[in-house]
Amino acid sequence: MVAARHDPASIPARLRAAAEAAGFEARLLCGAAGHEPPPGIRLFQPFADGTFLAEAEPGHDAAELSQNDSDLLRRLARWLADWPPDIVHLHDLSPFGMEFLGLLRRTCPRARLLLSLTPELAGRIGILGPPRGFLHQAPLRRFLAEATLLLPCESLMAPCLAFGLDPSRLVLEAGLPPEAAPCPLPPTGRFLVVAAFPGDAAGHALMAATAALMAGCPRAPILDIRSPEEAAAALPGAHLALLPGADPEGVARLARAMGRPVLTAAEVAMNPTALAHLLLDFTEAPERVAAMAAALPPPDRNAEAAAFFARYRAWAADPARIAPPARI
Amino acid sequence: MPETLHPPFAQSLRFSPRAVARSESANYHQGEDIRLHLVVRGHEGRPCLIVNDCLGGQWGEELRLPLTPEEALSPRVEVAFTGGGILVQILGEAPVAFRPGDAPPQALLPRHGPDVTVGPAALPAESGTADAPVTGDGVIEAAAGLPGTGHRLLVIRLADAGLEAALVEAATPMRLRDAKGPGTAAAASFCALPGGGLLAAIPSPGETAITGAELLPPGRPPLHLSPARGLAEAPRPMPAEFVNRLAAAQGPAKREMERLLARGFTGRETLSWLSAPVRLRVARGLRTPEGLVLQGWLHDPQGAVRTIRLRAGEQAWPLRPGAWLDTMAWDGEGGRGFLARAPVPVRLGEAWLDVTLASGESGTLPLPAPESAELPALRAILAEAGAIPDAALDHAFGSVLGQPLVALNRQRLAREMAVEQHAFGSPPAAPRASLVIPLHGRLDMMAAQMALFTACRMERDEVIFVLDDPPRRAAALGLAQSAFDRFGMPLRLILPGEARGFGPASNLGMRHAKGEVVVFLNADAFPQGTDWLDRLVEAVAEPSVGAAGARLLYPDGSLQHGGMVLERGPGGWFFPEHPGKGLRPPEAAHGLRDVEALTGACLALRREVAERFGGFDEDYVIGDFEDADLSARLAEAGLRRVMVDTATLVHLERQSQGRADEQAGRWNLTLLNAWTYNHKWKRG
Repeated sequence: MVAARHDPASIPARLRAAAEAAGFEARLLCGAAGHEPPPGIRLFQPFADGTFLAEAEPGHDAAELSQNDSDLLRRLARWLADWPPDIVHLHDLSPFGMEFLGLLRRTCPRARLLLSLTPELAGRIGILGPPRGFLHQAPLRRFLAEATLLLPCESLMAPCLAFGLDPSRLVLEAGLPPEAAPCPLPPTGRFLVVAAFPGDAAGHALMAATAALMAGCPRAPILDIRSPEEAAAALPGAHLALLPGADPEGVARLARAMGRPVLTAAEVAMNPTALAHLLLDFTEAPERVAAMAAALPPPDRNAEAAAFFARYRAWAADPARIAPPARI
Repeated sequence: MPETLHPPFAQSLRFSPRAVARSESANYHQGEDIRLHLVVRGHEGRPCLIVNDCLGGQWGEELRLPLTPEEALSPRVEVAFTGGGILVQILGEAPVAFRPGDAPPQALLPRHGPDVTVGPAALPAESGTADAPVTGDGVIEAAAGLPGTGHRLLVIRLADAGLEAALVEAATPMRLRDAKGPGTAAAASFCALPGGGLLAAIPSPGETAITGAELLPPGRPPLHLSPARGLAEAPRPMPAEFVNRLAAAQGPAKREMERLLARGFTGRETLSWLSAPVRLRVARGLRTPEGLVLQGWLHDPQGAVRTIRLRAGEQAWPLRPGAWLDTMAWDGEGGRGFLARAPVPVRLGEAWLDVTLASGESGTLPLPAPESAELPALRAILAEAGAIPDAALDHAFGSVLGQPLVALNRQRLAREMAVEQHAFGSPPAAPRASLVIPLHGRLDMMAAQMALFTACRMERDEVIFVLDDPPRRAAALGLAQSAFDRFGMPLRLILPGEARGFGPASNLGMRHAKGEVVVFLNADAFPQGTDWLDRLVEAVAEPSVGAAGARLLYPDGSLQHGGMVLERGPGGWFFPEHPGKGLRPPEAAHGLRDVEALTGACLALRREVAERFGGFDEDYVIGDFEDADLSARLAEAGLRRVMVDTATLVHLERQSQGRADEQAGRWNLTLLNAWTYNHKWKRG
């Protein structure tokens, strides 16, 4: 079963299809997010057989990640009892709250619970950013301890450990997001390079020096320096992705999936002058960039899905994934 | 449209059962102006009938007549407007002459509250005080004791005007009669009143109502006097009224009567009559089974005061020096705060303060109506005590505050109390352990605690919350239901009728517990390890163990509790201390670790032990020291107190109490409990 935050109308049916092709029977459960159920109905199916929407009471505060709607929880419990899943992959927590994890553990004690921990969700929990109070964090930590957390980037690992989460339940899983698909290059009048790097001093110095060298040139490219988490949002408007150092965050993979050539400065030991020359050359000859972009192969979703479902199987066979937490 | 009434007339007023809460009133108007105002309402914590007049165009001094709890349920008052004044009578009590001599207006318009029922009065209003008809040998128009003097004052009128003139010249024997019969004859002094009648003073202690008198003039047959206007008892005006009457009286005995009134308690403050500038103000009086506690301010810039005594009738108890505590409070007008205790539970309405100067002069001060013996009054007294110097702690609590406040707390806890119980889900019928968690102030922690319990394999255990905060009843019920719905773990909620503090609430939970082990737990203690309860249950299974405690950590991981020791603190008293508190916790012991004392924030006992020792001693007010006390009792019985270092919880120490407990006086409450502990264990 997949619990997702995205609009089910746009969730690719291929996700379910891929799951079923891999031998899984899959159901999709989403927050209603604007879709109105018939009166008195809380769980409904406006789209397809395996896709369910759940509507929480008005007033449910998704930002708190706590579900006070006991009626919805009762209905979800019945729904789960009717079709107890082996694996539940929560792509988000906000439509259902931490109570849903507890409910899953009670009603489906053998189910492996997976939660995709995005940086945005980590921020709301208090894993990233300013710490939240003990009374907010402790119950969340307790229920997160029931799940295996899939981290999209390595930089989340340390904050998760500092938050007190069990390292054996943290898995780096930098899968491509569903929206990562090739998209057209922007017009060339304003050449944009998204530079994503994890903040190392050497990479930063290289970027600063390169930008300084290009500053006097009339058609210098714009260097848009972003964190790995911000890169995905900036890439559609860029011509190139530039990685000054190593890429543990999957930015290069994401950029290629979106049809953006990737320059990895560290791999070719570039100095600022060489990098500045290269970027100016690309600016002068944008057709080279377009040719490189066109040559990029589209992401192999099927292979990716197959690899992911193989991991589902491995987790489903691992009893440690359902062992009660020792610390909360 | 109410009917205009013309004195003399009398009315019976019955107030509704909720009149005190609503402050219902009854008024008599002259045109648009109120001339007499009666209201039943609380005054300084006690229900009272308050009467005030505006007969002369200005409001006078309020007359406050305390109502018993029974009277307050549906106060019945009779009011008589006579030609010579007003009589007010709470049904069943002696009538009180209100402003005798001040004639009411000729026409009055009653305007009573909608829930005041008006009926015929038994109180006669045929004529006024000044011209009451004389029947028989004579009548008694008024009689009242003059507290502190052993005398009574009377207003009498004789049929024989010549005899009245003779009595003014020489003291004459007189015998008073009350419900018990005639008393002993004593020499009475008389002054003549303008317009006829006599003001008499007679040695006769007591406050009983006078039903008649015999005048025994030498050489003449006894004269029998009865209450005027056919009343069974003579009206009993406030003594202050006699002061007014004496001003117009004539005769050789007038000086002696003036001295008597100056010495006695007239119901008004007479400190201003003293030659030294002494100002004494009592703001609060608390009646307890172990005496009366007074709080106020004394301004004595010349150091003229020799003694201050509490007096009731003919008895007196020294307050200063002795049971007197100067506090650091100032009233802004030079007066220094004080707390004082009289070791007798006198009724405040019958007691007053008697201030004697070094010169021998004395003055009196009436006391305010007592406060109800509730927790807010106790807290207020402690708050007023302010910062008590260490050197004064023994005196402050040993001589002034300790015994009465502990007794007040006991009295409060001895009352019957309704208790409700609500179950959410189906707790196990025969649980392994019962968690007893008092809730006060902060209820939001309940949900967080239940969320964390769900990780602790507690299917065989029961969770009992005790709401020690009745105003939050509805919120607690909603939160308990929500916690069950959201986390699926059964719980019980006990709803006592009043807030009684940590110890009593814990004991109440214990009495509802069914588990073999009882775990007293604070609402702000949250499991960190998921096996904490298993380990505590294992620990108390050892017969030599009386109680087991868990390691408590602050959220930052530093140590909050790892066992307690009793160490000397303020005043040389012993206080429980947590060694290593705030530091990184030491390595956990693998087995049980013996300690002197354990905190009540997380304390496990076999239920048999908990019941044998009666849980926490409820003499400790609100919450403090009861855990050290229980540890001491276990030690006295030869039972071990052990720490289970591997059972860990996070403790947001004192956060479960909410902001209400941060008010002034919290430290003095701790000191009160410290005194109780040290007094009990003779460790001070």
